[in-house]
Amino acid sequence: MALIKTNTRSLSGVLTSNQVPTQTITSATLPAGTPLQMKHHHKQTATQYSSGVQKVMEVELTTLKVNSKIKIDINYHDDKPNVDNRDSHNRAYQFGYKTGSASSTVGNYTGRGGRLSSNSNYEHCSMQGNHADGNSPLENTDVPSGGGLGGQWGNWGSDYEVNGHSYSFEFSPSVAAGTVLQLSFWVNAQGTFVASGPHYFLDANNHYNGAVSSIHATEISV
Amino acid sequence: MAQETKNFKVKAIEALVDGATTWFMENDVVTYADESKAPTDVQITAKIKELKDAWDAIEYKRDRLKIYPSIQDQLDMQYHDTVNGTTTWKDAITKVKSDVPKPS
Repeated sequence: MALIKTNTRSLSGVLTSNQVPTQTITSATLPAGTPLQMKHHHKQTATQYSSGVQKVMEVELTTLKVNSKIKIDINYHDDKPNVDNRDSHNRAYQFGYKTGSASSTVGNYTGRGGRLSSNSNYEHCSMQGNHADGNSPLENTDVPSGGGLGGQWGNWGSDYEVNGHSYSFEFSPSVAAGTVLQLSFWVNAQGTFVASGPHYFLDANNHYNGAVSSIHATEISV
Repeated sequence: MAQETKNFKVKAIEALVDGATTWFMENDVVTYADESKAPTDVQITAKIKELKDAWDAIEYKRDRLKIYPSIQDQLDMQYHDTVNGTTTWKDAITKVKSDVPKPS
C-alpha cells in the first residue's frame, strides 16, 4: 500500500464583518418540526386537595412563531383516600390552555389532547372546546385503585404507594408569535386526593412516601 | 398515630365545607378558593374529635376482624357442626368476642 502524506499546512487569516453573511437564523426561518423552546414545571411538594375541580400544575409559554404546535408531556402522581368502597370517587384528569394570564376558573381554559369520547355529568372539568378537538379528559376513572381502610395495608393503615399517570400529545392553538399561553393540568375529583404524595401525606416532617409530578411544554415550528 | 390525626383533619374539613368551595393543603396550611366558606379552627377541632371518637368507638370491630377465622374456615366449621352435632363454629366466634370485648 502506498503511503499517503498528510498536508500539514493550515489556513490563517481573519474574517472581516463584510465577509460574514448578514442573515441570522430566527425562529421564523426554522423548518417545520424544529423545537423552538421548552418550558417546565416540576411539582416537588405533596398537596392534599379537596373534592371538586382544581388546577394542579401550570406552565407559561410565550410563543416564538405564528401557528406553532405545542407538545405537552405530563407525568403526574397521586394517591387515593383510604376507603374500602372506591365507587364514589370518580375522577377526571384534564389538560387545558388559555391565552394571557393564569386563572383559577376552569371555564377560562380550553381542553385539548383528551380522549375522543363523550363524557357527561361528572366525568370532565367543564372546559371550553368540544370533543372533536379532544376536549374530553386525558383519563377517567370511576373507581380509582388503591389500598383499603386502616389495618389492611400496613401498620399505618393507609395507602403507601402513589399511582403514576403519564400523558403526551400535541395540539395547535393557532396563535400569533408573542402570545402568552397558560398550559395547565386539572383534576376533577369526587373525593379528596393527594397530588405528588401518598394518601396519608402530612407535613414537611412526614414525607416518607411520594413522587414528583411535572408538566413539560415544547413549542414546535410548523 | 399522627397520620390518622391528619386524615381526620382532611375528613373534617371536607365534611364541614361540604362542596361549598374547593381547597388544598400544603405543609399543613389550608388554602380555600372561597375564604368566606372556610370553617373556623374551632369547628375543625370539634369535627376532628367527633370523627376520631366515632373511629375509636369501633376499634374493637377492627381488632376482631384480624382474628376471626376466614369465611372459608367458618363455612367448613358450620358444615362439620351440622354433620357431627358439634359447636366448633359457635365456640370460635364466641372466643373472638370474648377475647376482644365490645366496650361498654
